[in-house]
Amino acid sequence: MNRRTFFQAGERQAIDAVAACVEEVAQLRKGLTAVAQEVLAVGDSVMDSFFDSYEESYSLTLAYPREFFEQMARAAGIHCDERETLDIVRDLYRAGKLG
Amino acid sequence: MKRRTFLKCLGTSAAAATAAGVVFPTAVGAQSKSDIGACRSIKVTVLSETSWFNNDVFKKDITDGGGASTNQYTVPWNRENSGGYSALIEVEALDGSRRKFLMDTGWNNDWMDYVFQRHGIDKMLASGEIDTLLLSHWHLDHYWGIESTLKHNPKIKIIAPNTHYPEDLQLLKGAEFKVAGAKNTVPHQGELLLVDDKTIHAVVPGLAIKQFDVPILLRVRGENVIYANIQGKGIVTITGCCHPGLLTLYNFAKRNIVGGDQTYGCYGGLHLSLFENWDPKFDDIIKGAQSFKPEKMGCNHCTGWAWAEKAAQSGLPIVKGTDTYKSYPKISSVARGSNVFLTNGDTVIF
Repeated sequence: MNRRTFFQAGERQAIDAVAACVEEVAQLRKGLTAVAQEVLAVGDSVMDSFFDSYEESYSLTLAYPREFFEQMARAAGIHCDERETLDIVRDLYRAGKLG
Repeated sequence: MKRRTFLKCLGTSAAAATAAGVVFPTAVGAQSKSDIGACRSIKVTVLSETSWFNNDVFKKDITDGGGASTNQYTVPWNRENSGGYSALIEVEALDGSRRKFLMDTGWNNDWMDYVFQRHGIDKMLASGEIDTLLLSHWHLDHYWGIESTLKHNPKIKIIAPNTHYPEDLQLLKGAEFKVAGAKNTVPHQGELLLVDDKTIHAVVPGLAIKQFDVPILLRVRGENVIYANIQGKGIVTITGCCHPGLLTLYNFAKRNIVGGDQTYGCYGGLHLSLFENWDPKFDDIIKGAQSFKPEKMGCNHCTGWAWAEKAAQSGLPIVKGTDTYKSYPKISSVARGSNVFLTNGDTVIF
């Protein structure tokens, strides 16, 4: 290997090393984005809006007979008369009586 | 996120990621969607959708047992009324290869033994042709028949929601709850993969699981929902009971899954007129479902015949079943001649 070849080879190695470094940084950045997404997702839950309406909660609030919820509410001391089922079930949920 | 998962997420294609069975973070609130890959088709065989045979008896059991918030393991259930929910899911990959999964394992072991024998599930479990049980949730009618599965393969992999209670895992390890009539004499020896509600878990390309941590009665919470992405057709949801609500599931796919803008259909219980009750607000759910323009809706179990008939009349593409269910030894007291349910022994291909 003459002096010129020696320096050319060294240059290529240096360039490869820099490229690898850049790639690593790029991948790390992607990874951080993924972690950030997960952190953002932690705050998101179907339950954030579940009791906003019957459209969100029908699988619970409308699927069962109202007397089921009235029985549960009476046992939990929750008032039922002239109240929407949605409101009763929301109170049951907040009281920790569901699931 | 575990370091291994973190590293796997770096620069990997969706296909490679799904092959590895990794999790994708839920992209809610972020800019990107999860790519769950795609499959060519999905075939679902209804092994049993009759969890119980008489609604009045089931309702009475709940009421007399202390009400709908009572721990399901303490209710003296009428054994004669119990059946179970279970389905065979066959996934055809883009290369034409096929994988079979068992979704849920029913309730009454005698019933489930009959069902599994009738459909050859017992042999598929024993041979390893089915090597994974996808448990939708921990309700008795989807889970308590676990012995019927484990007796053929105690090492089967189980993917379930992480919202279990101690009794659920006790039953899995082998236990008996005499009052409730739940029993398993074959301890599970395989992998139990518990899915949380923060990620989308890839099973195979085109098939993924998302857990929704919603409240459910009888002291159960959380349901695993199967999302399938059928190439060129769109997203299909496969549910045990659909406790989060179908519209919520479609909305979730739209916001979080690549290809989720295109809804193709659904299979399973949709949790609407469960006891054949009708509420005018159910009409809004029909309109809501229409807005997603599904092409194929296979429903049964807790959907309620009343809702399915109204949905079909309203133009939703409800897939009609056959009379095969009449050849089973027991028939649901609410089954109707309209055949709007895919019921026991029926199949649907997406």
